[in-house]
Amino acid sequence: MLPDSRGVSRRAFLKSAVAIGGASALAACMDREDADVPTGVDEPASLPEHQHAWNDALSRDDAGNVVPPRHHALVHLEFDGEPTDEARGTVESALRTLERAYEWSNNGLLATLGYSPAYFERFDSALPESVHLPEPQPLSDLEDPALDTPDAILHLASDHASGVLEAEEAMRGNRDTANGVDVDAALTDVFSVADRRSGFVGDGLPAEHQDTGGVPDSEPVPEDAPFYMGFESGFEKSQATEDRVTIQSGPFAGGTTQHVSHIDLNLTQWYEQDDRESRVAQMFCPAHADSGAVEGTGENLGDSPQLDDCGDPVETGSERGVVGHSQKFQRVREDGRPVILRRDFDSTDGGHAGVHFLALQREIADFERTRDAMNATDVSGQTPVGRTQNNGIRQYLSVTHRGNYLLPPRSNRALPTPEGSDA
Amino acid sequence: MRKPSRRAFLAAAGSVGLGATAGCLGFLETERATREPPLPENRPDTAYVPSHVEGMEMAGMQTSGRYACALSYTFPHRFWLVRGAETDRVDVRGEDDVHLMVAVWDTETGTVLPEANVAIEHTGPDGETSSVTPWQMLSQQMGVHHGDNVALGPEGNYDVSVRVVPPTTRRTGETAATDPLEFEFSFTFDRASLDDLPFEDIPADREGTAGAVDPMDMKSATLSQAPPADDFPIPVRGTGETGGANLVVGATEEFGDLAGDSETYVAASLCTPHNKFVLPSASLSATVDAGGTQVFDGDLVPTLDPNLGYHYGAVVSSGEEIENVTVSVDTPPQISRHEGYETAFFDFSDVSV
Ligand code: HEM
Repeated sequence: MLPDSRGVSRRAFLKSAVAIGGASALAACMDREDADVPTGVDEPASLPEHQHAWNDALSRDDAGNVVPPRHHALVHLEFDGEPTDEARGTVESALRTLERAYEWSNNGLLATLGYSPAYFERFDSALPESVHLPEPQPLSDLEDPALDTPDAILHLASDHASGVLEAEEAMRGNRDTANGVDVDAALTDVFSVADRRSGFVGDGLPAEHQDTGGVPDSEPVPEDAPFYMGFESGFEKSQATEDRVTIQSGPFAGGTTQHVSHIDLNLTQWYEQDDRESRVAQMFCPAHADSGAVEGTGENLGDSPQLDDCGDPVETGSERGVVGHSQKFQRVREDGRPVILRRDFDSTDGGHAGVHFLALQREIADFERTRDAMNATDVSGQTPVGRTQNNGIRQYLSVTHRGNYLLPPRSNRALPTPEGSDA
Repeated sequence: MRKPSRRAFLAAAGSVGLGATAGCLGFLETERATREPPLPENRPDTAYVPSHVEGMEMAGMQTSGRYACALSYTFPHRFWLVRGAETDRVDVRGEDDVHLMVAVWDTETGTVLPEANVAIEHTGPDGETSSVTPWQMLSQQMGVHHGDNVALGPEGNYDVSVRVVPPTTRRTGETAATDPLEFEFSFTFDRASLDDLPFEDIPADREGTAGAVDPMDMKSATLSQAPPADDFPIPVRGTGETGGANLVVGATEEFGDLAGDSETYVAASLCTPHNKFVLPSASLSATVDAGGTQVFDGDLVPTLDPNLGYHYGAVVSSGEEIENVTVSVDTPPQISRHEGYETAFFDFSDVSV
């Protein structure tokens, strides 16, 4: 066990362990965390058909907002073999191992396996019309991201760092048991690991991990903030429902698409130059800064960022010279709600404060449209708001990676063909 | 004669001599970074002479296609962010080592490019890489540029790469590519030579009075100056002063593809009073009367022109003689300010010419 004399707090250590990964991090982590992780079910039929059906399995805060799992890993996988029935059987049996080992909850483990456009390229036929899954591309002139093209991506999430680490080790073929359950197969029996990324979200975790690049030395991240930038995010009424992001027809009905970008945060200006009012104006809208609508991290807002009084972004931009991040998305809401379901989390990957911006939507076009609203070229074109400066939070973000994936429904998740796995 | 250096200033101003604190570096660094002369008292609501002027070091000048970029640095100093009509003062932090500045201009037209997007990445002698997205700024010595106070790492050689995305500002005449450009620089960060940069503490009877210090001779970099009214590239309708800025309004029926038959191009050039730096990122609108009726009521759009430089303009549909142009500045220039400009250019009134 690692000595406490290194001055690492127990909670800080647990997170760092996920960032480090591997067997020794897991061993140290299990000692520290000593969690009693509930086991799962033998019969996958008892689990939701949507891999992305997490909301009912997560807890909610007093205002009714979904509380995301605290620890996350994203494992990039390459598939070099043939998608035979045998390979499919192996993938299915690996994933069933996780379902048997961990309760489908934040207390156990939530997982999804997704496939990229690069994966589907190996087949003669194309994906059906009902699936919009383009190759990732830069979504603004101002960014130059690396385009992620692994064949598949495994997302693991749990409130227990040891749960995430152990599940990952099991899927990498490094363990015989997971949470006391026999590991029947590993994903690395058919895939190889190309990359791994990790992160965390939830009250206190960003503050504990602010000793990293992009955050000034003054430790400015509020103690109780769930995200590095200091505000609550993911209010119930600011999220698409799981139904809204679910593919409705075709062989992948019940699935969804996943966009995962990595964004470096530059928080020196945010915390040391901007004052609180500017931060509220840029994150929410100037009207919120004027009215003092946001207290502390914004928990007082309840289940909605209450953007109704924010006004039109172009008008605000002309009158105030600044437009709010949240405010800009009002234009792409449908039926009063956004069309993307954000499941983003913070990270210290690359030794830098960042965000793995993971979003689910029925089609990737929904994400692109939403991102376009954030670029707000109409606002910067018609008002003194810059393309990044005073344009929501764009000044502080730089996108380093983008990837697009399809999350098939649970029954179709093992090496699907473009027609679905029973082709 | 050489101007006195900052080192001399520090030694004179500080109760702590440099030698005396050799064993107390952390303390010393905090001290020196924040030792800017205090702000002048009773600053006027107009461009004023600042508390001090400082020299700067040019790290280099590079070109890429038609664009050029200069990187320079000086010691960290306070500046003001602007949002709407509000300023937010940014003080020097203990860890700030330099004030980094980037200027970008178009070599073919000789115009500085406000509204470009600039990102700086620097890698120090310890191999650590950090990035900064500098603010668009206005200073009396340099005009429009991009800058920020930056904490570097250890002294030694820094490789700096500057990524510039040229602005999408409307252009007259030909279009220019707006693909991102990369410029590579390197410079030696050395506290001692930084302290040897010229530094002039402006005497109390001059600082805080209306005026401005002279632009520095930038050698290779072009200053963002507007054309003077007596040498304006198009016929001048009139000039005015508003918000502490100078406004020149011109109108012409001959203006490239922008003004066709029975059309007049109306251009408003808004600049600082003494150094004639353009004031970008404001919103301007105008009403125009011609032939006894109002023929225009709308926005003046930020526009880059090889002769007019950065200005605000609109095409007015009327072949008749213009009788009146009334220009309003609806939103002040949204550009961060160095000392001497932070109280000016906020409170505008309409100008009729
Ligand atoms: C990476 C740093 C980001 C941070 C810290 C951040 C933070 C926030 C916050 C605090 C809110 C308002 C509270 C709420 O969630 O309801 C919000 C809203 C939102 N953000 Fe972000 N965001 C980030 C990036 C993005 C990106 C890249 C997108 C996608 C294009 C995005 C899309 C949205 C949407 C759609 C909303 C809801 C707006 C509405 O209610 O209509 N955000 N964000």
